[in-house]
Order: sequence, then C-alpha cells, then structure tokens
Amino acid sequence: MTALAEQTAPVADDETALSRKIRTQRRSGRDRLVTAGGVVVLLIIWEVAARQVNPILAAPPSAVFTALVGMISDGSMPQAVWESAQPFLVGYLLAIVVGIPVGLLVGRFRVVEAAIGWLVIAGYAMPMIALTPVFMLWFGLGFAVKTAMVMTMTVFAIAINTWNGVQNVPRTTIEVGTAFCASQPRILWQIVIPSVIPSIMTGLRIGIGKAVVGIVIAEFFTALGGIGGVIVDAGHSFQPDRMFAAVVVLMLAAVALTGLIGLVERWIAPWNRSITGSGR
Amino acid sequence: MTTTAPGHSAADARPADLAVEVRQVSKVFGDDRGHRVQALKDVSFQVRRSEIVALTGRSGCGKTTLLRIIMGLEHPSSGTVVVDGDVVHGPGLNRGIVFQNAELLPWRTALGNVEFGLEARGVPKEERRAAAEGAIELVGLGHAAHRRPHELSGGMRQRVGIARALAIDPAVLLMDEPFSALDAQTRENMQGELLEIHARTGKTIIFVSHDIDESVLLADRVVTLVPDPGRVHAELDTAFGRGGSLDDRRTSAEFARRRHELLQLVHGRQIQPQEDGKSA
Repeated sequence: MTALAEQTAPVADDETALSRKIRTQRRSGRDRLVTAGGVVVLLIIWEVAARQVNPILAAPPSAVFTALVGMISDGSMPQAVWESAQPFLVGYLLAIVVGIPVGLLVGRFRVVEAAIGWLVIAGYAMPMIALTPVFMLWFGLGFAVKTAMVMTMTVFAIAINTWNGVQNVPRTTIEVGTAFCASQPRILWQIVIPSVIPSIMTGLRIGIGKAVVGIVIAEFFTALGGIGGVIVDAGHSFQPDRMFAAVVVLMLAAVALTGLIGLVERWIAPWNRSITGSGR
Repeated sequence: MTTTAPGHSAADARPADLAVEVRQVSKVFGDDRGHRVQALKDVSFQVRRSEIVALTGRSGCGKTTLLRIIMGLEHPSSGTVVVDGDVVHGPGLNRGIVFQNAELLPWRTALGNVEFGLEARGVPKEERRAAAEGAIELVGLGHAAHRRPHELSGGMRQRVGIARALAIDPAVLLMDEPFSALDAQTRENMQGELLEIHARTGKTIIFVSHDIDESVLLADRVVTLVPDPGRVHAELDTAFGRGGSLDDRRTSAEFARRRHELLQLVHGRQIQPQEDGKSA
C-alpha cells in the first residue's frame, strides 16, 4: 500500500495538492447541486402521489410540514425529542465507555480474544430486538429500558470495529516503537490507539444508526413518550401527517449525529482522510 | 585482493575501531507444521567505524533477517552480535533504524516523528526539540518540519525516517532497502544525500539492498550472501574514487568492474576476470 502510494507521490507536491483541492471543491459543488435536485424531485413525486390517496393513509410533504410546525409550536415535538434524547445519549455514552476498552483488550490480548471474542461477534450478529421483551421485564417501561436497548444495540458495533482496528495496525508501525525502545504503555498510547482511532470512529458512526433503531424499538414497545411514542400514537389515531413529521425529525437527527461524528473524526484524526483516500 | 574470507578484511582492525561485529550468527525459523528453515548459517563479518557496508544477495539469502538481528528485532538462534562493544539482546539506542517505507506515524508532523525516538529515551523537551530540529536540518527538510507525512513526497518521507534515526545519535545507522520504494530520480538524489550525511556525521552505516549498482555506488565494502542456507559468500572492496562526485563514481571504469564482479558474487560464483582486464 505504502509502496504504491510513494510511487505515485507527486514530486512537486505543493502544486499537486492545490490543484487537487480545486478539483475537489468543483466536484463537491456540482455534487451538492445534484443532491438538492434529487430531494426536490422526490418531494414533488411524494406531494403529487399523496394527494391521490385517502388522507388517513398518507400525507403529502406540505401537510407533514404544517403538522411539524404545529407540533413544534405547541411544544409536543421538543418534549418528545428531549424524552428520546436523554436515554439515547446515556445509552450511547455507556456503549462507548464499554465498547472501546473491550475492543482494545480483545484486539490486543489473545487470551481476552479467546475468552470473550465470541461474545462480541455473537452480540453483533444477533438481532438485539429479540431481547426487548426480556429487557422490559428487567428494566420496566421507562428511561432504563430505553437506555439498555440503545446500549446493547450500539456497544457491539463499537467493540467489533475497535477490535478490527487493533488487528489491522500494521506490524511494522508497532515495530517502529520497538526499534526505538518505546515501552509497552508508550507503544499502546503513542502508536496503537492513534492507529485505531479511524476504526473507532467507524464504529461510532455505525453505532449511531444502531442506537437510533434501539431507541425507536424501545419506544414502540413501551409506547411511552419520545419520538417513537409519537409515531405509534399518530399511527393508531390515523394521523399520518403527525407520524411522518416525527419520522422526518428522526431522520434529520440521525443524519445530523452521523455528520457530527464525521466532524469529530476530522478534528481528532485529520490525517486519516488523506491516507484512506476518502477525501478525494 | 577484493574477495576475502568472511570477516578477514576487518580482522586486522583493533577492537576499538570496530562498530559492529557479527559472530557465527545462525537463525532457524520453525513454521506452523514444525518444518525448520535455516535462514542463516554461521554468518560472521565485521564493520569498522565510519564504514559503509552493504549487505546484498538474491531474495531468500537472509539479508533482511541478518539486518533485523543486528537491529535486535529478531534473536539469533546461535551466535552473537556486538555493536559498539555491547552484545545485542534487543533493540537499542546505539542503533538508528531506517525502515524500507519510512514507517512514519501519520498523526505526527515531520518534526514530531523525528522526536519519537528521543521521547522514548526520556530526553527533556527543550533538548529533544533542538536535537530533532538539528536532525531535520541535516536531511534538508527544515522548511517542511511541520508538515504531516501525507503532505510529503516519498523521498521527503524517507528523509524524515533518516532524520529520526540520526536524532538519537546512534553509533550505527541500519537501513533496510531504504530507497527501493522510491522512483529512479528520487533514489539517485537520496543516494547522494546519504553520502553527504555520511561525510558530515561520520556515522557507520549498514544497509541492505538487492540493487547491485546501489551497493557498489554507496558502500565501502559489500558483503554478499547466498541462500539455502543464508551464508556469507564473499566480501568485495568497493572503496574506490572517494571524494569525487557520485556521477564521477558511477561513470568510472572502476565502477563497471566492481559491478561486474559483484554480479558474479551475488550469483554464488567466484570472480571471473573480464576479458579486457584482470580482477584487481
């Protein structure tokens, strides 16, 4: 990989870097326009199609937007978001606090891998939704069950990506530490962990998607508050405009959180995009 | 005489003049199925202070394994390596290691990478910074000290690798095919650069190369190895035309003759005189 990169490495790298940047900007500007066009076309199709259907079954974007404004101004939507956000954040943070160290340990020590590696794989592969009824028995119908669902949905994705990252740290990179007589803790902190950060961030990004599923599932089952609760209530009372409004909010929140993770990644690991070439 | 018995050419040197002594080193690798492969058998040679020695041979002759044993990254099955009067038991700061693909830490700047070895050594911050800046100036990268590896060309990255090894002020510089990943033009520049660094610092240098021209051009002496099992075949004195430019050296008749001789040695033959001349 590195050999190839070096063969293609520019001689006058300043010039090439600049021209690459200009090209990237031009391309991303055009891409953004295409994306915006796609959104508009979809909204138009939805609007036209939904107007043909019985209003208790579907709602056009205009009606959804009106419902959304109403739900925001009467305070029901902010309250639902707040109710979902709290267990979401606590569960997600717990998953980070547990998942990253577990991934690091399983990846770094063969004994730990043999002991609990299978559990991480099983947890990642298994649909955690199956555990919801049990979780309701254990944690009741409130905050605790939502937090537990978010946590169990997310923790395995974070752990398995961290584990994978540790295993993919190049042997030669660790050898740099050995060659310059760095101690084991130095190698862990100065070489292994920075090398694994991009994989951890991938885990966090995938984790957002899992966590959103977790909170919605928990709220569907318990039907108590939160955005999931709003969706269920609106569905039961034949108010598709309110239902879609909640879905849109959910979608926007998930996209925003994923974007936030991307920003954090660029902030703490700015070197990564240029290495993987994803910054093209 | 150009070919000598292994170790002979330096045998008359007093011990104080010796930078590296490889004594009867053998290395046996065992694979998963219990097969044992003899990578090196009774390898002995000596390197005087300030000498540049190339280890060369066809692939599978164990040249890289031998260098890794001198580095301390592999342990010999039998025999010893003495560097600067100390028996090698593992990596040590009396040896500066330059890796084939530079192996810089992508999250550190050029200067930060050069500082890495000094940090492991526990050099105080001020002193560390000064030593790193000195080393990076020495390789002609003062202007790029604060760039990250992905912003550097392949040649610049390898300069940082050399600076990192020099910064710890080692007795010996060990280089594993240091220029093999570079394009031809950059490689030529780097070869000249290395000789300049050698002229300025007087460091003992041992490098592995499969490139016949590079070995003859850069080294004072070439140790050739042959495979199955890896052993020293012969040593060739290549200390001709020192002081002239690299281009003069490259175009000299002496270069052509040594090159021809080395080619024979690498293929496990003895030197046959060329038709128009005699083996010097």
